[in-house]
Amino acid sequence: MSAPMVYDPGGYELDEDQKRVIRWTIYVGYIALLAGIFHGLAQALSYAKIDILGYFPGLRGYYQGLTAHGIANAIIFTFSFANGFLPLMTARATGRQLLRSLLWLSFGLLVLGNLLVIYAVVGNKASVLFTAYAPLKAHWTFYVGMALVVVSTWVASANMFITLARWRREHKGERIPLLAYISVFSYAMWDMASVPIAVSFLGLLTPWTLGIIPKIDPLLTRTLFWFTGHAIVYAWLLPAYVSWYALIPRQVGGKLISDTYGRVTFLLFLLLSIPTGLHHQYTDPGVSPTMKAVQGVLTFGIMVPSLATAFSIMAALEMGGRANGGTGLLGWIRKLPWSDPSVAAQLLAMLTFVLGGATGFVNASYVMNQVVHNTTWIPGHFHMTVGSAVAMTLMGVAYWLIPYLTGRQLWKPKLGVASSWIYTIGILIFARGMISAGLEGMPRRIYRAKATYTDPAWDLGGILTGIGGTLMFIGIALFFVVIAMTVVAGKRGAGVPADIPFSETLAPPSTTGWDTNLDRIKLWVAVAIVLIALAYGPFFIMYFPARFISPGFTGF
Amino acid sequence: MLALARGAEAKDMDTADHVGRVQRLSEVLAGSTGMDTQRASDVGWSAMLHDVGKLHVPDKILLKPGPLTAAEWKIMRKHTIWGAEILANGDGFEIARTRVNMMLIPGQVGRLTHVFREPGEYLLICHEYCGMGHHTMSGKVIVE
Repeated sequence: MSAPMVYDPGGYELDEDQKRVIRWTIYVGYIALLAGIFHGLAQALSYAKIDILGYFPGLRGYYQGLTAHGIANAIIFTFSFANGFLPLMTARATGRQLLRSLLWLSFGLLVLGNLLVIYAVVGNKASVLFTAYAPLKAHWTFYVGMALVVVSTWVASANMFITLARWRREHKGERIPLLAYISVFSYAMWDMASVPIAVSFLGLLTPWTLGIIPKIDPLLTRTLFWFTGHAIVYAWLLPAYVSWYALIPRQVGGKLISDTYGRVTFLLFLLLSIPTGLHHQYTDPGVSPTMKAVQGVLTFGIMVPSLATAFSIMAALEMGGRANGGTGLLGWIRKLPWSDPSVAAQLLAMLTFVLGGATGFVNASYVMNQVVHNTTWIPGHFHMTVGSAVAMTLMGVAYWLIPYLTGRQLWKPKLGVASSWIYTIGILIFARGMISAGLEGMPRRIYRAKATYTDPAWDLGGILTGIGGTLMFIGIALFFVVIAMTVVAGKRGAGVPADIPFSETLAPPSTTGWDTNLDRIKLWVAVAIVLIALAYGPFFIMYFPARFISPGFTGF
Repeated sequence: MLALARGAEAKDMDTADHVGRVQRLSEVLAGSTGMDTQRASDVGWSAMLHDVGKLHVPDKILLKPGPLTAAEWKIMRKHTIWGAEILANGDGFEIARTRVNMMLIPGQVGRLTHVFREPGEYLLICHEYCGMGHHTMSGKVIVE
């Protein structure tokens, strides 16, 4: 690989047994990614009216597979990765070891939660899709399993908080290392955001499915879901941003332009990610239009840190490209280390994220949302965010992280580069198809190959979806070949990164002045809680008492 | 909701008007029990959906000119059960290429008005997953 990496083994060294737990935590994520893409392919082809469901032994229906795809790829993959990656970054940035007990506890809860969810989904006891809208009723193992996965993220957070707190006790008056700061803020945001879904799954849906409470309030559980449900997309995204901010500049031979800028961005995510969930409920009756509008405006606020990220990362990339001999207005782009699979995957992830972000503006707009709500526009959008910006970054990180954790050289890096290009071309064709057909009203979440209705205007979009989805499948399959061969047959010894590639900043953070306030984590968490209370308080005050009226329904 | 009810009935032109009559009758009946006007109006609106289960009945049965066979009656009779399932379940619907797009949530009343400017046949789709037969749930809105 051409990118300069830190190969100095004399530096930081994480204990071998801690590396092992982190490795297995991350493996759970990649296995979930692999498990989910088969039905992803079936869905894309179904939109092209090609039905391959008959080739799935044991699958009892399209929506069972759709549930598995959503849970495995959007939730288990992302959080397993974050559970390993963010604590590792915190440990490295503070130069400390993590708490062994919490590492194992987090891993154990993640595995247990997964086993319960797999039992429910594979047995067709929980074909409720990953949104799990009541009154569709799943088996209790589904709700409890999902909640345990959430609890495993809390334990991983606790590990980071404690590690950071110990570092701060020994380094009074020093600024928190940037990499630790952004890692901790990512999960601090998620810890707050995940409380409503935990309350809903454990406090309402589990007792309901067990018959302890006879009826459920569908709008209440829906609102609790989306209370978490928009912030969850930032919980998927922020680990990718951690790599873009703190690792990618070094991998391309540049530096991060501003320490303060990076901290402010993650602070804005902490403050604004959560009070935005109602824009997923624009078309819901029973929620006041005023509350929807307030959160709609806040949703536009959350776009600020993402736009800020674009400028900051671009500057770091340009610095790297010019250092490698790039000249002219755009000539530096060619000089970026495109042959490094880790860099190529993440650069392409950033490119598709431009389109993912732009389509997000439409979803956030109250009136335009009515045209696209629950059409294929929506999965077209989110496959360009979580399905590419996040997924490709997490794959790109694997190209150095798996060698780092296993001590084995990456197997055939060129194949890794090819994987990212095939996936990118695939996602662009796929999203073009979904987005255009969505504008013509093609609904999402339907088994189109067997639907009793259709519209000729959906045909081209459906075919593009099928072609793009097939390429995406091939791209990820190649990724798995590279990673599996690395783990099994990668050469040991030279060429294995001995350290994580973390970046320098142009200037160190100042230890005086206003920006030291950015490190007051407790203060900012308190501010975030006030904002959440202002955005969601009026809804809940007006809403209660809840209407427990639906006995529930198992239609799968 | 009007669109959804009309959609269910639109397949069955003889009773297209039937929805409006049921709405008015139910509202008057509800009002005469002493309910307040808003609630009686909600009852009227809800009553329009009593045949919504017909969205699952294939056109060839619903629109069959002659008498139905025993097997066809068996399917036709299920429309009440399907209707109950649709209403008890969280659903949603859209009319393709319009801004008519709404979630249907048990316990909540949603109102939506839309003026169709172009005559024609519009496709009405159940767009929120509601169980195994989700992809068979559609209707038509005919604007003359």
